[in-house]
Amino acid sequence: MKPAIPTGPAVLTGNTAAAYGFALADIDVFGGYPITPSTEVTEQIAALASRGSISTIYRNTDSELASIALGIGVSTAGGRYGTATSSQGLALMCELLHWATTARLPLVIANVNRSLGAPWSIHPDQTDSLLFRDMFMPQIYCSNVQEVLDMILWAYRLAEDEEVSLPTLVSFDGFLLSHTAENVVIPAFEDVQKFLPPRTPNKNFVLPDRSDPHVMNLQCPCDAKEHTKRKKALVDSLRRAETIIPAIAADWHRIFGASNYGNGFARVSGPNNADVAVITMGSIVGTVEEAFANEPVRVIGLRFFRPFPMRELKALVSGASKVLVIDRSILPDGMGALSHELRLREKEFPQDVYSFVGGFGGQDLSETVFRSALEFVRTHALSENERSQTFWLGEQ
Amino acid sequence: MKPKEIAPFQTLDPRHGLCPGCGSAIAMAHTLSIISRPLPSGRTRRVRAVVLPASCWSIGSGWNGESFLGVNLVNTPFIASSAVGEGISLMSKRQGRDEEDITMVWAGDGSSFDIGLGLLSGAASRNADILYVINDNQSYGNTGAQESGATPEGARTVTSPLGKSIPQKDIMGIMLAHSIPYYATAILSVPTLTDFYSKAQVAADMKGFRVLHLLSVCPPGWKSPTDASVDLAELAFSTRVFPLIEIAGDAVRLTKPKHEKPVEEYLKPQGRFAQLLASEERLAAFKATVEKRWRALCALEKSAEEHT
Repeated sequence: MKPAIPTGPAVLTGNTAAAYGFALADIDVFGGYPITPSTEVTEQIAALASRGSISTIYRNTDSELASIALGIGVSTAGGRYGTATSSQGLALMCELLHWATTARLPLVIANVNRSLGAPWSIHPDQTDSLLFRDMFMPQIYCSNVQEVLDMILWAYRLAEDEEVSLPTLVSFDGFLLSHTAENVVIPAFEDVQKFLPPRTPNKNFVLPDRSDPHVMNLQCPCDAKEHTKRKKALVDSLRRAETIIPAIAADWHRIFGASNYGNGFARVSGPNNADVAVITMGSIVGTVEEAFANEPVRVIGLRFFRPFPMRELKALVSGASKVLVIDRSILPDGMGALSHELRLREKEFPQDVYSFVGGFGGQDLSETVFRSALEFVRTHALSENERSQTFWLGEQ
Repeated sequence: MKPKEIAPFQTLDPRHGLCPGCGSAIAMAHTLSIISRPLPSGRTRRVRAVVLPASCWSIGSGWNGESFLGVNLVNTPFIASSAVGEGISLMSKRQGRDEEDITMVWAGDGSSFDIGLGLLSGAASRNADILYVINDNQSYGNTGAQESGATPEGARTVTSPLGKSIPQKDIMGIMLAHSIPYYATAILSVPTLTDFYSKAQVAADMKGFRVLHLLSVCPPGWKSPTDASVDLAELAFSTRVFPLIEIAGDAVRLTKPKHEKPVEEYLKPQGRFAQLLASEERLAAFKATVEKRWRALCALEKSAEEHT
């Protein structure tokens, strides 16, 4: 049904924008479980459902595990499921989230980024969602509140593509986006319906129609050949996701008369022949843009981390000789997740890759911090050792 | 019951992978047959899906996408089956088919008493519209019969070689604490056949969270002869070691054996109780537990009668 929510210009927090995204996606079931800083998404869906403003069935679940399990059931029965969580909650889902990816169930999770303990922190970094970088699950990172709303809709569109059919994660920074109010345009439901039609499930992954005499045994064991086929199909499904993202962006721009998302993969500013390119993700993209507004620097805010848009990114940085990567995650090999992706692909990214990490547990990443990083990159030639090393941003 | 009423439809493909004498296999065949036939209300419902958490059925119910049970199966991780079942049933409701559809979860005691207890509690407290079968063989049967929360105190398992040293969990108490509409224990044996059929029919006919708690004889785990399963099931009833109770709302009904038999008759054919039988003290404690539980259930039945 058409959700009874406002349409047009509004001032919304990221959490409200996410709730409106789910409302506009007209989902069948939303499973809620509170965790800071995502709780308000859940509260608002509960409020909308209890007032009858949306037809979605809302359920208070007993943990994030129950929430993802509920989603597996709904999605297996052909429904559209959504939930919101953060950090420890996402981590608790791990076993079942992996199951959902390999069972090819296109549910959508709004993950409000928050540092994954220990120690306790409710503040944002990206160590929670990037824990799942090795899953076959598209991951979208939002840089402002408008994107939060829009990307929930993109996520369903991408996830539910019959050949993609994968859970999709929409991440946005705790507090910096979840609790910060910005100007947003809420799309009209009629337009959203053109962009996101009802789900037409891939029949291989859901219960058959009731009229279908065919009986299925979903996710039962199979022979090694079939099992291998399933594994290979996961690779194909993420590749398929990469190929259709530009089409999704084009469709969005056609329906909503905008062109703000380019080909979808990244938010890009600055000259394409700049000697220094900066790559980062999340709410700090805007801060980096501000910091380098008067510098000949290309700033790339990656919207899609999975599938990793290697070809697109290669083209975007091809004019640069130095790449400054700012990660808010740290891997056991001592670098951030984005730097790791680039350094895995030295042939595609032959530039000097300067790996910076920071912003953990709410550390403030200001324009000053970014400017000093840029100054370092410009004046410091990387030694052979530093090509595999990481610089830590700001005061420690 | 007449023989034609009890013969199960051919719902279990002979290629199924469960053991000779498996109580769960025969109970599954009967249950699927019962719930797909006309129910007490006169209507016939259809199984939308049977949800199977990690269990013997994960490897025994089919292969390469084929179901050996004649109905749709949804396999899930160990912990998840109750909430997955709830999700499927919510879609039946959303599609306006919840009068017709039955979502059945068939979960073992490990899944229900232990690893999945949290999610089971959630689904029960939300009164999820599922028929939840606890297929209780009193151990982690699929991994080789390790101790579970359902293992009786004193029974030997491979992870309690000296016999279980802590009490069996009271799953009935746990489930009743959730105010669910229906909880019944059931045993598939000759004298309990009518009881079994009636409970499966009633549970299938209702909506909301219904628990059918089945005692399933497990010859490899119980160290019992494969041809003794039906007799052992009967002995579990007639010795009152596994009492048959039905709790539907405020109504409580205890099915009492016509001829009570000594507890030892149930214990003797089972290797898992050999050490227990060798110790007078432990045997006495086991019998005392049986008596205490029986008295408590009789009191529960009496109290329910007085209040209605």
